[in-house]
Amino acid sequence: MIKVLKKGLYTSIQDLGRPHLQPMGVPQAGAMDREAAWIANRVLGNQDRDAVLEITLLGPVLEFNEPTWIALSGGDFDFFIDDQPQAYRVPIRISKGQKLSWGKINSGSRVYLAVKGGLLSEEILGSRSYCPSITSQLTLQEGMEIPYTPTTEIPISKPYPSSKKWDGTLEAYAGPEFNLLKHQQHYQIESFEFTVSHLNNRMAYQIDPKIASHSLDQITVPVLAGTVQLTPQGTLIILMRDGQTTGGYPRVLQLTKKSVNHLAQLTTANRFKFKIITKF
Amino acid sequence: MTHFDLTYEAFCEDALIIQWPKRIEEAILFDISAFKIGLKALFPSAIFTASYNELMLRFPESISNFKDLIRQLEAAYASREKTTYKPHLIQIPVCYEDSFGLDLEEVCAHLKMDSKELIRLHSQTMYTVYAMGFLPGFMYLGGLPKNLHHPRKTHPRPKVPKGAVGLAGMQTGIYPNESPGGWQIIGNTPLNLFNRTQWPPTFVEVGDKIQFVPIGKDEYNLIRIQVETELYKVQKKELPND
Repeated sequence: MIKVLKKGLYTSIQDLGRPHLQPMGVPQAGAMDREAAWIANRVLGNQDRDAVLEITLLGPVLEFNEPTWIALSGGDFDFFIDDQPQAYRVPIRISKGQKLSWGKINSGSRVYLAVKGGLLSEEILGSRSYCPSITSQLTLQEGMEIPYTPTTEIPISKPYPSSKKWDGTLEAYAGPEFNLLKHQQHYQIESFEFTVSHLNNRMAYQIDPKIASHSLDQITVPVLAGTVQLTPQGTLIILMRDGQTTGGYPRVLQLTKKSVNHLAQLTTANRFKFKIITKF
Repeated sequence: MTHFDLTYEAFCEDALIIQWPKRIEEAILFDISAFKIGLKALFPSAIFTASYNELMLRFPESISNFKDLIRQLEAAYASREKTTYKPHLIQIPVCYEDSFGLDLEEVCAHLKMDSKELIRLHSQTMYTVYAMGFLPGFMYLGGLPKNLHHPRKTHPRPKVPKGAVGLAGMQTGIYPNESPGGWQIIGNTPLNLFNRTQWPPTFVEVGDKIQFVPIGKDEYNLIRIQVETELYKVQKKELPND
């Protein structure tokens, strides 16, 4: 068991989510930064679908009640095992009773913690991902215990490609309604530097500034994580993993999978530009 | 069988959308449903999300060649057999009595009709499920009679009860779970529109037909017990396609 001593800002259990339930209106959920969660699992030789902890900015203080191995990936926040600083993307041996705590945030906004064999919390509709209106809680709570299978066996890492430094742009395909916009709006989307507003969470990221308003009618259509919607007032909203499955605003862009992961590492006041890339 | 002019468009690395003409029309929705059944057999691992005039196909891996896939889809649409889509009619019991119809009195006053007439109009119509979204198990229903169109509440409720049946503009619908919301609430269903502990978690799918059946409070309580003890069987039957 992992015992939660302090819950941190927003810590949840995530895996690959519930994409098969999109037709029933269920948000996909799952790790916000898919690549980082995937790497944490690879380092321990886990399955891709194994559940990990998603840690947002202020980390939780955890106590491990049985021996295991852990690995962390994603943003870069200083962290300690029994007050000893530790490194990212390497297996870390954990003995019974050891505690994990946090220090300063150097970069990024989400860190993933994998445990050898994955977290074995309750599975609902094929996934362990916390998600609004599906799981009874959305974040870890103090005193909670999360089960895993204890092991002392040295993990055999699976390879993963090294990631390049992010260049400050989010790559996107033109969305299905992109061509209905005016030149001015196209220009604004491609040239503005945008800032992540304080309205950013697992459901969506709202960004500033607004672009020109519109009065397009939009029938309800399917959307995915990374769909950039434009409200009639000109606000751009980027849907994320816990977002709705259908939307009633024009879909002006669709972020690439990589860019959805990059966005997941951004937080309030971070800046970026869009780069529209050709479709296939 | 009408063949519509479809457009096929890459959406992202692993998804593609098929678009029908941008109209809200039952013939379009049923054509989507019919095509979806055929495509499910062709691509068993894909996820199909249908709504109004669009069908999204999402694959477990990135699509290696969109042009080939689109060619395959066009061929499947052109050569599909004359499969007429037969929608299911699902009957959903609703209690419109005072403790459930939170806004019933106000709505009746606004629409200038008595509650009997409102209940009759609301429950005699067969609605069509055009999309699911907003909340797990939430249905976008088309077909609300014009004289029941009613604006949303000026101040949304912080908590609309689970099962609440409401009106909003030209729509009617059911809150599958407690949620904030601005719909005018006229009744409540004892059924679970979404049950995360059973498979499938919902008994509705895009393309189904819905009819509300007025019930009294005693029957509501009885059905509620049957639902909780898993004895209740949802009334669902195949309709002939006209």
